Amino acid sequence: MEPHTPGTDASIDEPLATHPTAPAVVAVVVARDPGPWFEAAMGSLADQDYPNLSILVIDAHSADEVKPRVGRATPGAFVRRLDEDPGFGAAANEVLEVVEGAAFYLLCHDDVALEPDGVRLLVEEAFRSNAAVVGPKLVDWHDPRRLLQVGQGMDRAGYGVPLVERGELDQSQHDAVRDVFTVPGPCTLVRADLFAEIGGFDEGISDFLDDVSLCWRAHVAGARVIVAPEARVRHRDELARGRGHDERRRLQARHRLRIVLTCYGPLGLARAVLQTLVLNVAEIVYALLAGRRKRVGDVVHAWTWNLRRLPELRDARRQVKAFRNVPDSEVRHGMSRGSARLSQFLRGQIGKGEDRFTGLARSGRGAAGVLRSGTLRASATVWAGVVLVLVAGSRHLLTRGVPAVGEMVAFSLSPVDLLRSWASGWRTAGLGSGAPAPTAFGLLGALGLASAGAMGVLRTVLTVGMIPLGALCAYRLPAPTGSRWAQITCLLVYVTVPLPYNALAAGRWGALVLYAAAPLVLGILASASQVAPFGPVGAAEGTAPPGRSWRGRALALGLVTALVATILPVAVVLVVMVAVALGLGGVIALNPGGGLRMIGAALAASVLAVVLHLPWSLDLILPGAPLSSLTGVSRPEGVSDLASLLRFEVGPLGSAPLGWCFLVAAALPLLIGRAERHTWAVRGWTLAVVSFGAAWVVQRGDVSVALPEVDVLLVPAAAGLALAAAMGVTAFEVDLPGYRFGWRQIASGLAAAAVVAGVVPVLGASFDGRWSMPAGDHDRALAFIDEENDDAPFRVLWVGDPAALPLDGWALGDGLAYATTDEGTPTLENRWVGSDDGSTRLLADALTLARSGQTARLGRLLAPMGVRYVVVPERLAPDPFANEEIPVPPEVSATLAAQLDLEPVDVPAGLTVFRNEAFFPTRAGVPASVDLPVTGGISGALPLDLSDMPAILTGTDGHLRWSGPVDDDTTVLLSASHSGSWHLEVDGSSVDSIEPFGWSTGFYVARGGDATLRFRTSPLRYAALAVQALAWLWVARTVLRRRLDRSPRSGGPA
Amino acid sequence: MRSSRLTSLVLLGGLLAGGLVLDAADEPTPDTTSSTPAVRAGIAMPAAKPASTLSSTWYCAGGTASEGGMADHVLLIANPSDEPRRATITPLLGSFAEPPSAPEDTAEPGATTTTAGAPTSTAPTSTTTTLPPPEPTIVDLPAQSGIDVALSDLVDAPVASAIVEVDGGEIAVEHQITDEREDGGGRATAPCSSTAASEWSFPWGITARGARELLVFMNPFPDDATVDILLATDEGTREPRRLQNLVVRGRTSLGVFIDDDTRRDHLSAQVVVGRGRLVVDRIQTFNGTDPTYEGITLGLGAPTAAEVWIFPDGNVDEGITEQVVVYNASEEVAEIDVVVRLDDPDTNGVPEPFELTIAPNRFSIVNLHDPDPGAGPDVPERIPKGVGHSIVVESLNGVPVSAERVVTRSEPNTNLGVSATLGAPLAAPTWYFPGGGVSSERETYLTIFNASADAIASVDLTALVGGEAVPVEGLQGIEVPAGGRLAIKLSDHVGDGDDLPVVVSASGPVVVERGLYRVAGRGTSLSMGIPLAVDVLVPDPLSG
Repeated sequence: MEPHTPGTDASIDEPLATHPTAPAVVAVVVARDPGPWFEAAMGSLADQDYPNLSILVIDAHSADEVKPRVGRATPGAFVRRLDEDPGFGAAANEVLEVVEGAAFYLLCHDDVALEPDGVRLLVEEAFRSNAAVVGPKLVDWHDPRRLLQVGQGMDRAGYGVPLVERGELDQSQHDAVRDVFTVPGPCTLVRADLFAEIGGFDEGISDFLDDVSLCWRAHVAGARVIVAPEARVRHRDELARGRGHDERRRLQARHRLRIVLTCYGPLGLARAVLQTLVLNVAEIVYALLAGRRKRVGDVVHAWTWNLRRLPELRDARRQVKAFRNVPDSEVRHGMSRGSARLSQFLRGQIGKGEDRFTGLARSGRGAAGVLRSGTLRASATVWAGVVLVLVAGSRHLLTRGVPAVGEMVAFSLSPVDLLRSWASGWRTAGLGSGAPAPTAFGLLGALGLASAGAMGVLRTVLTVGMIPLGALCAYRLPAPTGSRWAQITCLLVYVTVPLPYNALAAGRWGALVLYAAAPLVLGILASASQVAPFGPVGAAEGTAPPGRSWRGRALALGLVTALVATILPVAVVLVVMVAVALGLGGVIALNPGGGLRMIGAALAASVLAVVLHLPWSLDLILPGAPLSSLTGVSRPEGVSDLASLLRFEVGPLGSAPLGWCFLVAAALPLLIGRAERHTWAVRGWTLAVVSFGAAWVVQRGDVSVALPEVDVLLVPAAAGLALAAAMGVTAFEVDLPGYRFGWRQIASGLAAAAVVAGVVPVLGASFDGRWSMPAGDHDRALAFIDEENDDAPFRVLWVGDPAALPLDGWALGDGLAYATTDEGTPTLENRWVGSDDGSTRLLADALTLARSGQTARLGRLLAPMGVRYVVVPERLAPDPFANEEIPVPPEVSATLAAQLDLEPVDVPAGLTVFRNEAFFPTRAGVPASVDLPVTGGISGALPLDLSDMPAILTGTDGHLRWSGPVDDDTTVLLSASHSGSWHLEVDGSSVDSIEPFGWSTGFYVARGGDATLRFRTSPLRYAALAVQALAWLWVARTVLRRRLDRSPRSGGPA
Repeated sequence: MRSSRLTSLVLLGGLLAGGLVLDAADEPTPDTTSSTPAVRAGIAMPAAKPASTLSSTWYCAGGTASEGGMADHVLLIANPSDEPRRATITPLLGSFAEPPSAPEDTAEPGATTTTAGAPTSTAPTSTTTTLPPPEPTIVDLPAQSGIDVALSDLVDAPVASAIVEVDGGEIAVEHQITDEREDGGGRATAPCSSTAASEWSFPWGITARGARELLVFMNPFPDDATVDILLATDEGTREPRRLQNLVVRGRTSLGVFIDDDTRRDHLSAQVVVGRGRLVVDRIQTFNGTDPTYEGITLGLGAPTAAEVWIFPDGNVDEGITEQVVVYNASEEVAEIDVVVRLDDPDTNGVPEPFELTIAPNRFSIVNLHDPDPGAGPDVPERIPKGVGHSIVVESLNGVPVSAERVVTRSEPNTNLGVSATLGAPLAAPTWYFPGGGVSSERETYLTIFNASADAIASVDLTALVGGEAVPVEGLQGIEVPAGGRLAIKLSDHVGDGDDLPVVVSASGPVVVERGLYRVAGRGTSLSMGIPLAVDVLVPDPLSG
């Protein structure tokens, strides 16, 4: 060992000189741009009474070399300067390379000062307790009476459990030597052989929690870790201060996860990962509720950062495995049970110093801030209750799946098939058409890919998940008011409105999606108005939220509208209706400011949504397209009166008297609200009244044009009332104190009671576990259709009340609708039908002919369309799953029963199914001897009996591509609308197409051979879709970027 | 603040309150007539579809197609339109149901009984063998012409029915049966049905000694049908076990002799189809045991009840009896007036209506030929003999019923026979008669009833001869007074023409009935014509 003189870098291969009478201790101080305290810190080491102490200072590339300062403070110390700052752990690990023969290392930050007996006490305790790692009592640098740390416990997810309250007065109450999981990182005595065995610090951890990692691995190696409080060390915590709060939290999150991923054995790892995941999800939810988006980012970053370093993690795990002497079970024995994080949260300790509400308190907002930080826990409690009720009420839907009823078709197609359908340019709905595919195919296909093909889970999320999403958006809606209670009230009112549960019970997907988005739409519109509390206009000085860019609001609203319109196309109109109603509300409140901005934003959003859905949207809005393709087929006059609509009683939930609670709760601000609270309450009420009115008109059947379903129209009413109720709470907090005691206080009490009472029906409805949805769907009853395996492709024609059809359809008249599916029950491809121009209308014509008694051979009329079954559902699901009848007019049943070629099939009650005896396959080979008419439409089929025509081209070669042998003199008849994009090749030669029946697609094959029929998609279509996809990405990115650029404390609903 | 609060409260509250008031004021009143089935041409009674229709389908149920059959079945198809048509005739083969093993029992008056014990299961009590339907036969129908098709030329079966499908409208189809047995005799002609239904009512029927009542069930559909038959007698209703859950196989026919189960002077039959839909004809034969009844009748049941039934023709005289049988198949008591409108009311007077109160599932009979107990030397008979009349059956309380008129002709008349026909529940300007004609052996009468209460109907008669529509001389622009009737003896206007489809066109809604009479011997057949389902009028029972 070569002695090193101050000012000289330590040699790599020569041990330091040590005192011969005591175990050699090398104090390793990592200096990183130390402040003026450094000399004091070094001096404390120089003053140690330990007889065999050497000092090694690792200069981690400080801007100003520390060597001179070390020389002045501790003349005997050695200095080693590094070319870069690798972090504390990696820098300290240098000791392994430059020191030999030491018994202990004392690993120190550059901001600690030991009492003169510190090292001695630590070493003595190490020998006394046979400990490998010993930590001192850490006290405040400036006020040594205040405790900072006396070691920590640890839970199994890597969260520390402090043994002392930080800042607690030191009265020797923690001075007992005890085993701890981790010792204070700023000053740690570790046995040199252990340090070498475990490889020193984990160099993947650069600052923060490196001490935890060291101690955890020491435990794994079988070492004892204790704290010796008699050894007292003052600490400045300069490292944390230097990094800042956000970075520290971020680093801690990722390092904590790294420790968990590296220190557990395989089984323990699985358990810990699961526990961590659960905690992280909960943390994300909490962070979202608290409006702390950065916290969400921390959690996500922790996972992505670690997952990007999988090889490194594997190496680290191998290293741990190499020195593991103790199983995980024993290590866990020394850990705290349960979750330290959760315990802290429940004790209200979570994130002290990091919680924004505590921050508010610190910033001097005094009692109000304290009150609000208290409501955060109330929020959490309410949310816990809401989540509990929603989960309990949806438990059968979550565990057994959502039945495919109403609009909630099964996601039976794979994501790839969906994307192919989106891209192909051929719609299978009806008799097929070259109409653009709904954007939903592309979006859901992409989502399906993102969810690794778990389409069932995706379907559950996109249906049942809409309720909590709507609740979350409702909770965020009144956030700009700054009242947590307003948020809670908005949440409670919105989540207890019967609409979403009735929508679930009726299989109304569109209404559910709108329910999820309505508060968000409302919030963005409110923000676009720039009116207080959602904007600076009219806000009191000092409380004005920052104004948002109108363009940004419109863009965000357009994106939201487009997303909703994916499922519910009429959303592009509804968003304008909402804006107009809000603007009108301002006029009624004699405070019209911002109304035009809202309407303008809504119009812009609507246009943007239409553009984003190009080219699909053209199919819905171009002249000639029936309004029903946008709104859905209107049902005949409904059964609900206005009173029922006001209670949202459009299903099993919502009966009086509790059904009136929402109106009572929302009425309060109209009575006591002032200023913007009153204005926004009136706006919410106006929106509600407009929605109720529209729903009432639809229900009465007063208008002949197709309008959206009643529950869709009522969704804005629910959002409006929730907003009004929230304003009521704000008025209670702000305005009521200005009144003398009287009826207003009583009214407030009534409103509060109404909010609470309104919860009761939902609680009751949650017991069945499925929100009154049928326990099953048509699948089982119609399984025989799906199982047809005679290679003859066919269609199923569905006729019935739109509310009973398990797919979307076209208007047939008398409030009926019709639709088709391919070879069985509906899939996502059948959910959106578009306009029925073209040959699809022939289906309706055939039905109309039969209904008017013009034929008793409906089957023969339908045969060229490939219709093998006619299904008439008269319940949401067949017996025994549903009881409520949704009948078709008796004349329809009678008509179908009177057809000579339709044979009834035995199916459960609630369904009527006919098998078409005249059916022939949608890809049939018709011999030349049969004179296929090329004109005459459907009537041309009446004299023809083609029921024995064989199926051909039965081999599927891909999407919209079939092959097989074709005989000579055969017409290949494809029961699909005529399109020039269909191509038939026989033995490599193209065959000209013909147009049998005047609408169908056919190919006359004079000389048979191996044939392939396929649909050729135009390259232009691919280009258009690429543009569409890019447009979506650009809008989403822009909106997201603007959102992320906003200050985290600016609040806001969007 | 105060003004904005007031404004908002008044506006929003007012809108909601106004809506609630308006909603309450618009509370829909219960529809008391919703239970009354709609009378529609083509369903309530056979009717020809308009010319523009895509196709016409007719169902001819009752008849036989075997040598020496009791009801040799001939289809009479008329194409009065200007376009040639093509008809596809699909015969359905059938058989007779096995008779019951036990004789009928008697029932207490007013009781509802089921013979031989109630069925212990829902298993079919009688079935027929599934017979594949023969290949369809396609025949051409030249414009303005009629053709006859004997089913025995197409098939050989104990019971044979036929579906007639024509590629267009304005097609009328009747069928004719002839008893070709050695001891039989008589011929009957009646419209085929233009619909299949799930309920059929037959107000009249006789199963007494010497009479046979055959119900022919035609199932033109692919799936099997099941029927329950309820018999209403003057002693109550009966549900013979054999006639419960009776299965009629798809695309077959089944003949069931009701007299195998019960013997009654009169009964009404109610056929309820449990599953599927059927067409049901009744063939009633008499062998002369009762000299009042001789010959054979053919007719459809009533698929729907109605509040008004019109019978244009009527007469009572020596050897002529006339009954009106009203059957109430509903669940409510029916208050019925049977109104007889005598010709020349200024001279013959206006008889008092016959008032009937009919319990559910009961029938009531008005014997117009019975002597009037109140008549005397100075008081004329309520229904004077030899005075022609029409009959209108009206429901006064909106309970729909079915009504049938039965006419018997016996000596001293030369043309003998019995005829039963349902009335017409509707009126129309155009009526078709595919069958009938004038010859030395047969006379044809057409009786036209003007259903208008205030307008004279101008009527033209056209015969379809040799592919042309020939106006019948002397029968152009004839006038029928409002609410009155006019009987025309066709032989007074046309020469010999055994097969002579006739078209009656009127300026307003009329009901036209045809009487076919064998000049000497058995063979009387009265039936309503086939209206064209254009400008149809459903009479209001309370309008007078």
